[in-house]
Amino acid sequence: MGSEVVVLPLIAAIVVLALTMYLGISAARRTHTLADYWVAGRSVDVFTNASAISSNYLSAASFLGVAAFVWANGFDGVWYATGFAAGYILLLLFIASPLRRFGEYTIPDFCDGRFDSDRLRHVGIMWTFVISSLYIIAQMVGVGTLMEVVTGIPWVWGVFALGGVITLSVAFGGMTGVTIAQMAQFWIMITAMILPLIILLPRHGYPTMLMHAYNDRPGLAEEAEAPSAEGSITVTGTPAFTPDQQARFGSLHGWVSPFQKWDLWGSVSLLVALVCGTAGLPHILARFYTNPNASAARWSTVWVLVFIGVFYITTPIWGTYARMVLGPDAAVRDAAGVANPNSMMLVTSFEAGAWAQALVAAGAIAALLSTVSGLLIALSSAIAHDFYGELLHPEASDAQKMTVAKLAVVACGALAIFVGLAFRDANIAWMVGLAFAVAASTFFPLLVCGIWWRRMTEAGAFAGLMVGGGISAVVVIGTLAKWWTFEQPAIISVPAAFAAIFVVSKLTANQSAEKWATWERAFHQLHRPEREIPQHGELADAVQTAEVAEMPADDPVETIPHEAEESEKPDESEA
Amino acid sequence: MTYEQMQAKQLKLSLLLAVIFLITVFSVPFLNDAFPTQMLTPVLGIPFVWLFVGILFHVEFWIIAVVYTRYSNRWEEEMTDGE
Repeated sequence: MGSEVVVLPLIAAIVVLALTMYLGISAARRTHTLADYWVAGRSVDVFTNASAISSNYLSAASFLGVAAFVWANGFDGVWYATGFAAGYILLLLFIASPLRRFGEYTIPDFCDGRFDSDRLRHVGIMWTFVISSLYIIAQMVGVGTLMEVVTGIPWVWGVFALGGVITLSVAFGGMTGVTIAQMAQFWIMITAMILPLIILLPRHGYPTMLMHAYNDRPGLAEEAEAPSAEGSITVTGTPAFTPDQQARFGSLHGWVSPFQKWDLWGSVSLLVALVCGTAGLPHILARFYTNPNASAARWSTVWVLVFIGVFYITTPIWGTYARMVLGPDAAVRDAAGVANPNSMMLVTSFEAGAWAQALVAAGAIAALLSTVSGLLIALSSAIAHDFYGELLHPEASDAQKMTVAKLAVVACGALAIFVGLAFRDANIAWMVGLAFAVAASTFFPLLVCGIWWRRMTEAGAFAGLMVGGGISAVVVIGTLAKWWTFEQPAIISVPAAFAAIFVVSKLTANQSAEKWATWERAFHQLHRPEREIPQHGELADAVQTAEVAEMPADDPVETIPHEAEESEKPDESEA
Repeated sequence: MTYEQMQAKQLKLSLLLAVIFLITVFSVPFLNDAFPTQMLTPVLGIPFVWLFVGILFHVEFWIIAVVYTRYSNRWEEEMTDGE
C-alpha cells in the first residue's frame, strides 16, 4: 500500500459506491412527500431501522479507529468500544419513545414544538450545525485518508469521489434512500468485521493473546512458578516481543492495564461524553422519527444495541490481534516512521488474505458513506425544514420545500467536501469526540428535562443550551490555545447544563397561564397514549385533569382544546 | 390503573434500570484506580476488566434494553386492551 493503486480494495470500494448510488437513485421513485424525504414516511420496520441506525452511528472512526485505538493504547481503547454502545441505554430509557410520539422531523422541531419558541429553534439549528459540521468534516477528512490508504487513490480525488457520490445519492432518495442504503451498508460492515476474525482467531485465540500480554510484566518470574509464568502461555508463532519491539512499543503488561491514555477523571469524563452524547446527536435522533410508533422505536433500539454490541465486541479482538501478532508493524508508516493508525485494520486483515483486506476496505467505505449520509440529512433538514420551511417561508408549498430540500443536500454536501479539503490535517478522533461532548452538553440535557420535567421553562431550555454548549466551546478553545491540557469538557459542561436548566426554570417559573398551558400541551404530546396520536382535539380530559394538581397556580389547562397537529398517518393503525 | 399511573410505573422502571446502568459503568474507572491488580485477575482466561468492559457490559445492556422494552410495551398494550 502507499501511493500505488491497489486493485482488489479499489474494486471493493467501487462496488460499495455503485450500490449506494443505485439504492439512493432507485429510492427517488418512492419519495413523494416531505415526510418521505425527511423521515422515510415514518414507516420503517424495526429490523431495517435498527440496521440503518447502527450503520448511521458506526462511522469510519468506529470501524477503523476503535480497534486501532485498542492496538495503540490497550485497555483505554476498550472504553470507546463500550461507551459508544452504552449511549443507547439512556436514549432508550428516557428519549426514544417520547420523541417518536412527539412526531416531528428534527431536533430544532422539538425545541420549538415543546416550548413554542422561535428563539429555541434558532439555537437548536445552531447546535445541530455545530455538532453535525464537526462530525461531517471529520468524516470528510477520513474519506480522503481512507481512500488513499485503501486504494492508493490520491487524497483529494478520494474526497471528491466519495463526497460526490453520497451527496447525489442522498439528494435523490432523501431519508427513504438513505435508510435502505444504510441497511445494506451495515451488513457489509458487520461481515467485514467478523469474517476475517473467524479465519484469524483459531490461529491464536483471544484469551491466550490477552493472557500472554498480562503475564508479560517485570518481576513475574520471581513471583510465579516458572512453568506457569512463561512456559504455559505462548502465542503460536509469536512469543514475547523482541527487545527491539519492546523498546519501540512499550511493555505489554502496561498495555493490558487501564489509565495508559487517560487518568481516572479523564476516563470518567470521556464516559460522560459517550454515554450522554449519543443521546444528543441530531443525526441519530432523527432516525427515531422514522419508526411507525413508539413501541417500534423501542424495539429498534434493542436491536441497535445487539448489532453494535456484536460490532464493538469484535473491535478489541482486532486490536489485541494486531498488537500481539503484528506488534508495531500493524500499521503503515510514513517516511518519518510515524504510524497511521487508520491503516491498522487493513494491514491486519491482510493476514487472513487479500480478499479479507478488500472486505475490510468495503466495510470502511460503507461505514463512512452511511454516516455521511445521515449527517447530510441532519444538516440539510436544519436548513431546508427548520430554517426555510418553518421560519423563513412557512407558507411555501410542499413542492417548493422539496426543491429546497434537495438543493440544501447538494449545498451541504459541497460545503462538507470543500471544508474537508481545507481541514486535511485535522485530528479526526478529536473532532468526533468534540461533537459528542457538545451533543452531550446541549441536546441531551434539553431532551431529558424537556421530556420528563413539566415545570421546565423556555428560558431554562435556552440557558441549558447556551451554558452547556458555551462551556464545551470554552474548554476546547482553551485546549487549542494551550491554556490548559484538559481535553474532555463533558464532566463539567453536562452537569452545568442540567444546573442551568433547573435554576433558570425555577427563576422564571412565574409565567402567564397561557404560556404554561401551551407548554403543557406539548408535554402531553410526548407522553400521550399511542391511540391518541392521530386524533385531533381528543386528548383525554382525564389525562389533563389528573395533572392540574401539579400545575402552577391558576393554570387553565383543562379548558384548552388539543390543537390539530401535523398530518401523521401510520399511527392510526395502532389505535 | 390510569394511563398516568402506568407511565409513572414506566418511569420508575427507567430510573431503576438507569441507576443500575450508571453505577456499573461509572464504578469501573474508580475500581480500576482503587484495585489495579485485582481488576486484572484472570477470569475465564481473560483479565477481569477486559472481560467485564469488553463483553459483559454489552450483555448487561442487552438485558436492560429487553427488560425495559418488554415491560413498557406490555403495560401500554394492557392499557389499550383494557378499554
